[in-house]
Formats: sequence, C-alpha cells, structure tokens
Amino acid sequence: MKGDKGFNEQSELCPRQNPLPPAMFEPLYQLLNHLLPQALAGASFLNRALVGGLFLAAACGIVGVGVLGHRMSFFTNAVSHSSFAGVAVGLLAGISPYVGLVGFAVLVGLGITALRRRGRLSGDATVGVVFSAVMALGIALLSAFRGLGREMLTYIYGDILALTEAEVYLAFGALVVAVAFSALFYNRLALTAVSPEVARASGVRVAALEYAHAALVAGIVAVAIRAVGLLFVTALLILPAAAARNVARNQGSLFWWSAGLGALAAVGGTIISVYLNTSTGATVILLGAVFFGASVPVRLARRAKSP
Amino acid sequence: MSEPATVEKSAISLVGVTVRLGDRVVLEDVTADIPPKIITAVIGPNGAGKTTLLKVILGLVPYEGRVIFPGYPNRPSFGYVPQALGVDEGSPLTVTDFLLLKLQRRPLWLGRSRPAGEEARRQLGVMRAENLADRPLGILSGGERQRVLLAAALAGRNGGPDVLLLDEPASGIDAVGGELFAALLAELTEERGLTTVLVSHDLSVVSAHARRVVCLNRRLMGVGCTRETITAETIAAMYGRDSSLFLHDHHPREG
Repeated sequence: MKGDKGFNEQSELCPRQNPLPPAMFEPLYQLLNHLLPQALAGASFLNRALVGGLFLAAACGIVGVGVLGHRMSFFTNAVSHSSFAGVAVGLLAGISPYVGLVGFAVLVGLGITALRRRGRLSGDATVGVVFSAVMALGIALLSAFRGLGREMLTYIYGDILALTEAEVYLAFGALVVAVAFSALFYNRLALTAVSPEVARASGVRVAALEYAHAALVAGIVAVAIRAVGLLFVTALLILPAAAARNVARNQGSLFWWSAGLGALAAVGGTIISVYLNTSTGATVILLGAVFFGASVPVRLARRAKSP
Repeated sequence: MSEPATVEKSAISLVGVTVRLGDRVVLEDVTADIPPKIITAVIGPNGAGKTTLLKVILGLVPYEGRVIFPGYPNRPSFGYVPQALGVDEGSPLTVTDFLLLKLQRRPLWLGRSRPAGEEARRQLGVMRAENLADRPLGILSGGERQRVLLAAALAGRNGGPDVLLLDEPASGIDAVGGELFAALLAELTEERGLTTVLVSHDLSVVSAHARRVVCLNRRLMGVGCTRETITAETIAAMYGRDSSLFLHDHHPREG
C-alpha cells in the first residue's frame, strides 16, 4: 500500500523544531534489517514499519487480554469506527486529525462505559446504539465537507509502511502505557472480569477501574488505527489474545503469549507482505488468524490429555 | 422496623435503603439490623432485590438511605461468594490464579509471590480443594466451584474478612452437597466470628442453619429469628396467596 502524501504532510505529529533523538531505536532497526530481502535492507520506511508495528501489536496484545476478559470486542469495534467522526472533528476544528481521533475515541469509550453502567439496555445494545450514532455523525460530516474523503482512506485501511519517526515514538509510548497499566492493574482487572462483586469486596474501586480501562483501550485502538486501519484494529487486539488463551496455562503466561504473538504477527506479517507484495495490514492480520488457527489443536490436545 | 431485641450492637444497619434502576424501584425503604457473628439469611422470590441488598452492603450500587457498621470501629472487610462468574471454559485462569488475583499485589505476569501462594494453598486446604489448585476455574463443577469461591472469600492479606456475603450459595449443588456446604458455613461462621449474610430462595437451607432471617420482596416483609419469621403469613405476602409453607426434611417420600 502506497503512502498518501497529503496525509503525511498533515499528520506530522511533532514539529521540526522539536527533534527526536534519532538513534533510540537504531539497534532494533539493525536487528530487524537482517530479516529483510537484500534489496530492501536499509529501507528506512520498512525499518519504521517493523519497529512501529512491533510496538503497536505488542501493546494491542497486552490490552487484548483485558478486552477478551471483559468481553469488549464489540466495544473496540465501536471505538474504532468512531474515528470517522474523530478525524473529521479534528480537521474541522483546525487541530490535528490525530488529536481529534484519539480524543474522540477516548470520549466515546468513556461514554459507552457510563451508559452501560447506569443504563437499562444490555451492554451490547448500548454499544450498538453509540456505534451507529458516531458512525453516522462521521459520514455526515465527511459528506458535508467533500475535501475530507481522501483523508479518511488512510484511516480505513491504515498504512503501516507510511509510519513517520514520530509515529514510531508514539507507538513506543502506547506500549509503555499498556505495560504500565498492566503492571498496576492486571490482577484487579482480571478479578473484576471474573466477578465485580468479589473485586469490590476485596477493595477494588470497580467503577474507576472500568473507566480507566475503557479510556486505555480506546486510546490504544485510536493509535493503532494509523497502522492497520479501523477495519483491522479490532483483530489486532482480539486475535493474539484469543490464540494466547488457547496455549497459556495460567493467567500470568497469558500476558506474555498475547504480547508475543501480537509482536510476532506484526513483524512476520510485514516481512511476508514485502516478499509476497501483499497489503501489509491485511497480511499482519492474516498471520494473526493463522496463529489462532494453530492454537486450537494445542488446546484440544491438552484437553484430551487432562479431562 | 428496628429491633431492640439484640443486646450486642448490630454488625450492619440498613436505614431506609431505597435503590432505583432507572425508574424501577428495586428496593424500597428497607430498614434492618444484621447481628454480628451469626448467619443471617435474606430470603424472597426472584426479583425481590436480594442480590441488590448485598450490593448495597458492599457499596456497589448507588442507593438512598444509610448503611452503617456499628459493630466495627472502621468499615469492615468483606468476603463475597457470587452466584455467577464471568469466566468461560476457555479461560486459562486457574483456581490458584483466582485466589492470587485477590491476595497479591505484584501482577501475575511477573510471577507468583511466595507468601500469597502459601495463603492460597492454606485456604484451599481448609475447603478440601487442594487438588483443584491447578484446574481452570471455568471448568469446575457446581460443588467444586462453591468450595473454591468460599476459599477465595475467606482468604485475605490481613487474616480474612469480618463480613461474609453469599449470593445463592446452594444453587448448582445437589441437596446433600447443599447441606454439607451449609454445615461448613455454620462451622466457619462460629469458628472465625464471622458476620455471615446469605441470600437464598431455598427455605430449607435457611431454616437448618441461619439464626436470623430477613424476608424481602422489594420491601421488607419481616425480620427476626428463623422460626418466628418464616410463618405462613410472611410466605404468602412474599410469594403470593397460593403458596404455602412446606418444610422438606430431606427424607425421600413418594409423590
């Protein structure tokens, strides 16, 4: 997939006068270069795609554990589809589309959580209502302002090969946030998924945790949209975690399997797409689906051994 | 409907508690005292607000009125045995993991802590559930699950909870299992000086082991000692005129 020049100009995150330390990810670039075909080794856009994809997919894999535990697959779908409206609002308000995207996604995530907590509708109906509303808002804004249409294509399909150096840093930031959140709240989040009452009885502030988790998931989804697009971002969260559930033997190893499989899918998928000349985002997701398919027999074999 | 009968300060006092979900009133003006160190049963038909009452005590749902804990210098610590669990068969969460989620601060992906692991093993031992330690929580049978949930409720970093809350503990277990579980619960309540509140629609378990009963059908229908509270009138008021009291004594008979 070719990068969209118009998008790159507008999506420059950090202004030039604030240069990033250029050498921070250099060792990683060097390492991953060995996996590329000779002709493409050293191509900086591929380096950024590999390292940025690695960070984002690992972050998504980590967050995916909580998403599956709390049955939030449909929630992530609604959040990713709110990006139409988010980008449009960001552009129309004259701020960066990226800020609009992330900010709007987090607001939608918090809004769904608030509605679900006090609403009389079932959880998935609440998500469905918000999903339709923000999607319609996005399409309406886009149709009213014709110039926005082209911009949106980048967000539908994503373009991991067009990641800028600043976006690689942003991806690294997403990974750091995901790890930090998991270091603090992994146990409490899992306990709340099993039973909010037990969690509350053990002193967990369930409401605050659910809001924080929703904001985290929405934020990570929004950041990852840039790489794989809003159509695939849910898969990037769900597939590694779903495969990890099949192979992990306990709650602790679940984390490592999910993060690892996500990272492997991103790096492997990107490299395979270079060799096969296929869409990078789609190849990453396909490899994730292959991992899931391979994990099913592992689970069945283990179950047959110990009934 | 306050009760001056008990000499000891009550453990939990509900004063005019009302809970609304949207415009539906789930609990209406409930005032009741729960005495310390015995089993109190909350009984009533489905939809009577029994589980909501437990959630009010935990502070998990917004309510009007007051919930105070006169029997404790601070807010007491709680153990909770839920009716439903949000784990499915495919979840790798093991029984030990489940206890550790509560017992250890270090995230499980950075390994298990030794003291927390020992406490988990000890509590599972009390419930005769050591053999379940490495089994996934999602595949346990009803009886096994109840034992594990009780072990988890009683586990704690500071010597376990003051107040034990159980939501339909007898559901999903057969009659004999239910009887054993109730006996175990009575023993633990006495031994550890727990204030135990259980929610049940099964009157037989209640009359066997609870020393006090709160009858609930959105509003309070009666409070008191088991024998004097479970009367034909209260039952009729809660479950409808056509119902009658039938205490089954676990002896099989025909018909």
